[in-house]
Amino acid sequence: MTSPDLDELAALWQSDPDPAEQERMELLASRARRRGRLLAYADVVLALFIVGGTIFGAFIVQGPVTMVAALLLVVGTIWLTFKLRAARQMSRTLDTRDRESFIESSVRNVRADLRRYALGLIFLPVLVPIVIVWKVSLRQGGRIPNPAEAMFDWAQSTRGIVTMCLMAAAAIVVLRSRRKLKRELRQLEQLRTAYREEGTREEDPGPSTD
Amino acid sequence: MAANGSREQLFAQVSSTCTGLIYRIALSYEADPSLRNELVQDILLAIWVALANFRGEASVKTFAASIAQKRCISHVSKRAREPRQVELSPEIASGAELPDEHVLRNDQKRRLVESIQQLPIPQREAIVLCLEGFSYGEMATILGISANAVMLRCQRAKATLKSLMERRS
Repeated sequence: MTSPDLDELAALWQSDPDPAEQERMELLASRARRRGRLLAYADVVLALFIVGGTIFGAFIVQGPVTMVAALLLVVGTIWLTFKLRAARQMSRTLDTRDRESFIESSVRNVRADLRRYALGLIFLPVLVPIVIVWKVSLRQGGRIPNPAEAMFDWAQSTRGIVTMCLMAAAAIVVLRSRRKLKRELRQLEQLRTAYREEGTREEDPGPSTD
Repeated sequence: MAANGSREQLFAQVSSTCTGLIYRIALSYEADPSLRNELVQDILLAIWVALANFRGEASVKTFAASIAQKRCISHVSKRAREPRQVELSPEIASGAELPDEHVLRNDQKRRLVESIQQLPIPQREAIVLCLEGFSYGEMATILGISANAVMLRCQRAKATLKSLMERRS
């Protein structure tokens, strides 16, 4: 890097930053440290909260339906938490070697996210009726003679209508996110092509343009 | 693997010595100031997380640059659109009172930044590291290619950058 004009550009590029910018960067760094610490425990705290609440509810009002619904919720929450943690872990431990394997692992992550969203779209409508049956059974001393009727009553209540609207909104958000992910996937594929082309030129540099 | 205490120390080192580098790398990928802010925060968080696996094989600066470049590539692909052409603020170079030569310098810097933002990503990351003063060996570690390939890529990036800057002047 002896070219004087490159040195000039480097000096220009590295010229002193705005002191206010410097201060803001320090603020961002301490915020990142706090967020990093919180992130490590958030999933576990959430899972403990949901599982603890479910077990507590199931023991207050005992009955076969309550116990089954509580068990399904506990298993479902634990499974989802593990899956979420695994997904985050994967995105953090992106392959740190060459760019091609980095992009490859990014592509794999995006595909995993797409699968996760698809799973969410399938499981959300299944999980909600389980929660409703569990709640109704809690109210009725752990027994529901006719779960379908309980569901129908719930669907006609204000709470049921609001929940279904929220579920529809959540489904729209997930579908939009899926579209974004598909665009991201296309972008990553273009990037992979750009790196491959660059790599090919480095194998066979041809006449220098400098 | 870095222990929790040493992770704190390493992050403090990153905060005190690498924030300028991180800011400039983010600047080369994102023209929009608010999105750049988010990107810088993402990079810092990624560095915090990744420091748990830092084994000291490279310097902290090289490590931070490597993470920053990768987060920027992810950012660009997540944005999934062509970069928005946001006019860069004149305060990019300095926020101090601006005599004439500083105005000129700021204008040059703005031209440089805009030209770098126009480069294809593989060349952009090479020239940014080059301008940051990394050696070819360090750049090879960060980019995961041979030092010879780095040299060739820098040459091409430099030529493209020159022509882009000439077009802008």
